[in-house]
Amino acid sequence: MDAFKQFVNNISSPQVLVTLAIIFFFVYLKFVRFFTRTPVFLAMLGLFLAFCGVSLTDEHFRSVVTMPDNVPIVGMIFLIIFFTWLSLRKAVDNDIRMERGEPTFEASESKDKLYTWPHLVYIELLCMIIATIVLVVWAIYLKAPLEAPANPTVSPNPSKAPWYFLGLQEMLVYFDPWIAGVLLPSMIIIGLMAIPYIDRNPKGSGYFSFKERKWIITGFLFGFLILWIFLIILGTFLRGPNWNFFGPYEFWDVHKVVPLVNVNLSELIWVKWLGAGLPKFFLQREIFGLVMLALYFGVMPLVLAKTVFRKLYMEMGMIRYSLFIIFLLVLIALPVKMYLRWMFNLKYIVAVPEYFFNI
Amino acid sequence: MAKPSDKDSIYDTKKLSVIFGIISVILFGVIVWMVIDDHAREWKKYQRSFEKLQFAKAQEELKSASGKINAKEFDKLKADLAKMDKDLAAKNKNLAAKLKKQSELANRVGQVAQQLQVERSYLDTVRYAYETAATSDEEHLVQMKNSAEEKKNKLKKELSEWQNKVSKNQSRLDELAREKEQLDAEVLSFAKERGELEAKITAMTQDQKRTKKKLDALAPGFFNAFRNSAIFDFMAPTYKVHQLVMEDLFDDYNFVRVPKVDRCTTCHTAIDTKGFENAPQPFRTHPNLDLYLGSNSPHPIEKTGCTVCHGGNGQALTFYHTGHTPSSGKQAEEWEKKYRWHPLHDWDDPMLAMNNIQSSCVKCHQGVMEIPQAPKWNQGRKIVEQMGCWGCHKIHGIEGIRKVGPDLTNIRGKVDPAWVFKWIKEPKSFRPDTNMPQFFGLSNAESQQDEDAQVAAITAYLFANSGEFKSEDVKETGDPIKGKELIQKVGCMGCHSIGDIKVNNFAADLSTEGSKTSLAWLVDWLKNPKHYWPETHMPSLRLTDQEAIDIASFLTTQKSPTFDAIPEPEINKDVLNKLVREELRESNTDKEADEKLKAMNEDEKKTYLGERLITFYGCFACHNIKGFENSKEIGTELTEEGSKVISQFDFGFLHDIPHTRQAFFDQKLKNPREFDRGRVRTRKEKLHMPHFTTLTDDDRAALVTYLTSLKREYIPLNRKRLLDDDEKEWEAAYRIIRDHNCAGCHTYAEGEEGGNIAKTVEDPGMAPPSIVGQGKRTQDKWLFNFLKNPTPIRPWLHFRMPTFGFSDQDADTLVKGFRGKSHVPLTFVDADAKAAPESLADGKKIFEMFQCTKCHAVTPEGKIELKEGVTASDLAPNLTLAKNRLRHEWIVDWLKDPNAVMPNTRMPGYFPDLQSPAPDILGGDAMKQMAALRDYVVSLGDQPSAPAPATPQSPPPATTAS
Amino acid sequence: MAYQVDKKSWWEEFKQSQFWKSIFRHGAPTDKRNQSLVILSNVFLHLHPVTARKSGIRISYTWCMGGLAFFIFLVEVITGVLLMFYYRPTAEYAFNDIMALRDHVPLGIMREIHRWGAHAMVITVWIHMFRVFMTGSYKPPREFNWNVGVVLLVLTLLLSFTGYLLPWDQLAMWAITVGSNMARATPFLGHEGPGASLLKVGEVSLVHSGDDVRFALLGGRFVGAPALLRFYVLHCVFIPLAAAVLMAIHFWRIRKDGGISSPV
Repeated sequence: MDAFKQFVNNISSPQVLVTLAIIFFFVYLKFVRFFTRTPVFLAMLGLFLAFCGVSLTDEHFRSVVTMPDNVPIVGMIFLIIFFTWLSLRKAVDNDIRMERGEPTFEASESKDKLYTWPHLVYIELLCMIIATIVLVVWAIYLKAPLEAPANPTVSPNPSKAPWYFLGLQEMLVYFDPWIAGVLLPSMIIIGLMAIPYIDRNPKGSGYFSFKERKWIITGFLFGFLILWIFLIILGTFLRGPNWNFFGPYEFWDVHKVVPLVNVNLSELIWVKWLGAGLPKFFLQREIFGLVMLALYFGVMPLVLAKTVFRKLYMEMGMIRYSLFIIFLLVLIALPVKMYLRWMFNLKYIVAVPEYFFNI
Repeated sequence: MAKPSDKDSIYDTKKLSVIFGIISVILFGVIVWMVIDDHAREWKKYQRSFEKLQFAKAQEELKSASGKINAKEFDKLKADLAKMDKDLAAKNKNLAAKLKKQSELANRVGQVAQQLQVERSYLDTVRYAYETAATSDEEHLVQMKNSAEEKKNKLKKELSEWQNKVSKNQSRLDELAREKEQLDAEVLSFAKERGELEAKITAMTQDQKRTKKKLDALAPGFFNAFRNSAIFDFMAPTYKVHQLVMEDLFDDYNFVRVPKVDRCTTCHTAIDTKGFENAPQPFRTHPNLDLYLGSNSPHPIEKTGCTVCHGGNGQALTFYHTGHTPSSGKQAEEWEKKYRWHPLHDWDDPMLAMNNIQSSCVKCHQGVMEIPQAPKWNQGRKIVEQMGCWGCHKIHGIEGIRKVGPDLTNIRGKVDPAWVFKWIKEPKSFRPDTNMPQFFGLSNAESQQDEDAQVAAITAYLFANSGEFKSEDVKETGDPIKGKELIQKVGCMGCHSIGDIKVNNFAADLSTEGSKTSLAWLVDWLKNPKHYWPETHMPSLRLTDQEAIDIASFLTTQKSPTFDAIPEPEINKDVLNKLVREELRESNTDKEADEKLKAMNEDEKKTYLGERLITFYGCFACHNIKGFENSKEIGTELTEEGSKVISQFDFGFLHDIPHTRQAFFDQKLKNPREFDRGRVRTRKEKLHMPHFTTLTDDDRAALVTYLTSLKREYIPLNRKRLLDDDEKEWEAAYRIIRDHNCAGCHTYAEGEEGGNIAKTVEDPGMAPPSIVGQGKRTQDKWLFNFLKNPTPIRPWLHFRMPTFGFSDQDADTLVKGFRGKSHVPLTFVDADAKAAPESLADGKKIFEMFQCTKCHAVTPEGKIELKEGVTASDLAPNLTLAKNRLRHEWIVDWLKDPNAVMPNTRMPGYFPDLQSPAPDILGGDAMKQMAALRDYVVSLGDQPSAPAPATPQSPPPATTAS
Repeated sequence: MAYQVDKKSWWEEFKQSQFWKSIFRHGAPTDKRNQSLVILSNVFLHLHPVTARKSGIRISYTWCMGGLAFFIFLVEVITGVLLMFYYRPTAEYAFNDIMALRDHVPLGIMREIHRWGAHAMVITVWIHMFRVFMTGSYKPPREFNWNVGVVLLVLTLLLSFTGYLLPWDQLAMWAITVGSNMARATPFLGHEGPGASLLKVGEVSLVHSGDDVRFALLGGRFVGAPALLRFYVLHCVFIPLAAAVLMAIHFWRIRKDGGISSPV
């Protein structure tokens, strides 16, 4: 048992877990028809529950998971798993129906009307009662935490943001606060708002379907499941004191020491490769980073417009396409930056501390 | 769009209704469960069991109360009462008849009186008419007057009739009233008698009735259950939160002060009521209520509350959240089982464990060296002062005291390097009970050679920087046997201990002095300690040269064979070089360090390393060392150590001790270097706090209590225990008394232990006198001079009052301190009034009658031949000194009852409870006789040829007088 | 037999009384007419159309997430108001009042319900967004309603964020400190954000720690008593009102854009 725990602790590092998650994500979507079959889903859910059950015997895992404020997040994991499966399963069912020419499940029923009273209202009443029961039982079992009174001179280690912002706090590890704290949240909000204006595909409106809206669903799910939900789980359960990364069964030791070897791109190139000192003038110093950015955000959209997204570019037109490509590139930039950090210990691509401008 | 049809409804409403039914029932159950869960508070459980306890107690009281009434007497009284009722009834019956008649009569009288009143009013109108007519002369008036005249006469006649009718009735009425009165008195006396009897009965059953009433209030019944039930307990619950609100005591919520609201009495309901002394916790009464919580104790509960002393979170209401702290591992386990207790992390100031409770006293009792009723804290603070902790750790409140260790600036004159080396290496091998702590050979020591080199370096530095101190060589040879006897006779045992005489350990144990100092030095030191060490507390006992030499020669024979046998190890050259190079490397580059190392010879290396090590180990904290006169404290400041946040304590890899301040202090004192366990550190990074080997377990506990008391807490001035003037004076004097260990020979205050030297003599008369109440006894001027240079008072004593060489300021402080201690006001009332000659004569007569000269000398020379049956210890002070020495009013108090003033004194009580043994003199009035005796004794001082008191320097004649 | 008056039970008669009819304008919704009237004549029920598509009622389609989010919002409002009876948002009393709620205030369990309700609401709002996206219900004509939904999502997070500080314990204060530290890095408006140092007139820097967006959020340079009061007002008045207004628009748009989305 300890060997297993030791193994899990050793392999669990951000890079391994995120990579596994992404691979699992794409494989799942690739063979979505297979994975969403009920027995397969139940098997995978059973496996996951078994893993949790076994882990709960470990004292450190239990102490983290059963903290009153972390229980809602455990609940959220199971809800997200269930609802993701449900939506993809219904989408796959509809796809199969459409392939057979039959109307989608929703279409078959959307013709006839029912009186709201009693049908709709009755179901809502039941939902409300069940929700109240869940809330009250939850309130009886778990007492809300109340720690020591606020003390500005003693900062607890780790100090975590409320759980729903832990995805952003996780991004603080890789990005400068202005990107992780301001740019990314606004891009998420504006991105979400822009979806209806970018996805003009008329199909898939009002019914579950995966095949007809494959790319937009993949993009959205990647953003929502991996970059938001998965990072929250990471931030809640696996980030400990000094924001060090701890395995699920590892004791949160305040004294754990992790080598800090991150290097800016400019230092990497000027000092490590060219052996010359860092130039004073920031523009000259950061020229490499700036070029990379220019290539990434300037040249790449044009190339894509000509090659992969040519059809898309035709449909969307100049403005809508540029909006779409900016959001897409920012979405991709997150995992890219994470991998640059893991592979080359790259701290900032562009580092201009004089003006707090680091990317 | 298809018409809405009910047939194909989406869900079968019948199934939905079933679900709806089920979940509604569940919802109801869950809501009820929620209300009960919310209602079932922990403190209500305690209040319910307290109610049961009270109920049981009330039942006991009821049983005992009814037990007290002995049935027989009770029945007798009952019978008397019944009999009395019977004949009272008879009396009442005829009284009733009388009463009835009387009331009839009263009615009649009332009626007549009313009629009378009407008549009178008419009479007045007629009289008025008549009078106005009489005085006017007009015609019609005259006519009217006549008719008025007749009417008036008629009326007057009627009036008189009515009046005598009324008077008749009135007299009849009075007569009846008198009769009734008489009857009433009878009944009244009877009723009074009955009332007494009834009172006696109720008195007997009174407390039975009271407890009965209380019992009913507490009896579990439907109503009590109802008024405390879940929803209905807003009206008149018996389970309530009890709280004490203190506006001038504050909880500190980090930069915000909130008036304390202590809700401890919600569960500790009977904390301030007597009678629950052995009730199970939490209902036990607080120990000694007259000091704590009693309404007229110094800490009344409604003004003090609980958390100001006990700490913890007064506002919380659960066992865990209030921060209860077990005072032992065993109690911790018990609580874990009983209350599911575990250490509270959510409150910075958990309750103090009972063994540390005294650390809360100092927040109000500041500015004193000893807090009344806080012995553990006092012991802790005394150790901190004497062990010199404040030398390395700055503690606000302990400043301006002399360094605890001996002065090392002239060390070469006293000891040789070999001794110093072995001493620094391991002090307790020379003197087991020394205060000098252990620096080397501890758990995180590098290697033996490394430490030897360090010790050698320190020794080398001390000797290289020592001043020249030449004590003249001694020509005569001393007699050790006389020396040994002198040590016990002269009074060295007041501070020192030697061999098996261990009554005091204020100063060093001398049993191994021979292996330390030379004869010459000892003689010079004994003659005048301040010559070697100007700030020493060692006093001069005015030893003659011969005496000093005898003592010195005896001490030099007291060797410590084991210590002498310890070989002085060889210093490993390259280890020394390594160390020196390490130190050089800190302020030089590698190259420079090598060059400088090569340029140093052997001694320069040692002295350089020695200087660096002294800075590192902080020897200057306790010793004066040349070159470190104003070095600062090297340890962490402890002024607010008790409020330091737990996360700032570096427990290192010590996971076996609990994460509390107390555990950290205890471990730090038990073995300070333990915190380096498992750590990879260079020599300079290692912990270097020394280990105080002589600390016993309760010393450590006392120190932990003291350290926990060093808190940052705001207490407003009006709640602080401020000293009055007398106490301030005593406080200043007490500083000097403790530094010079007066308690070694004398007891200075009631209840304080002291005067241990008396244990070395069998005859109590030979022991140093007790100085309790010294302020009342002696005159200030005399005491001041005596302290500056002592003059013999009790010649037969062989212990000598030492000359401490007090500065004027110190002596003055002492005198004022003793005055303060005895609350002697400053008065100039007839300081030197002359006594009347005849009272002198009476005084002389009484003086001869009591044969005072048997023990007291009355001539200035103080010659007394011992009469038979009188041993040396029965002797008493020379009375010629009384005039200038004693306060005259004290003499009277002394004569009244000597034993009260100085317990187990030899002075007989001549005036047992103020009855005079000589009725013929002065009319047998004891007070007058005592005053006369006092005047005579004072007059003894006027004899001309009183010799000047012996000067301290020149040795007094070697007679018995000392 | 005496003339048999079809004696109605008093209950029947009562139901014909003026009193009853003034309240219930129509009979029990057992027949079609009353089923429509019950919706039309009730201010709350007329949130729903009289009749709805069968696919729209299907719970496996809508997951009832929107309804649940709104319901939990109502639970939060009710328990929130109850808590406001006991909670004083000052540095001295905030912590004590929460402790009182925990230890002795009757029905102190409302605090638990309020807190878990908050977490539950955040989760239901996310899943609601997830369902609306997966069913493509953001497509025309519902784009505007999708945007109102996104704003409501942000408001929900802000509600929870401001509520998180109110117990004023270590967890709360430092969570908000971490959260608000991000605000100081806002470009141009945060004193540690890029471009802030450019906003300088000669030597006088216009954006500094005393007036940047973080200071506006916290009412100070660190999370102190002003921050507590400011968050209290935001949490209890400003954001719930905004959310209520936007919810009204949200429900209105659902109805106007054709009810629950269905294949066209």
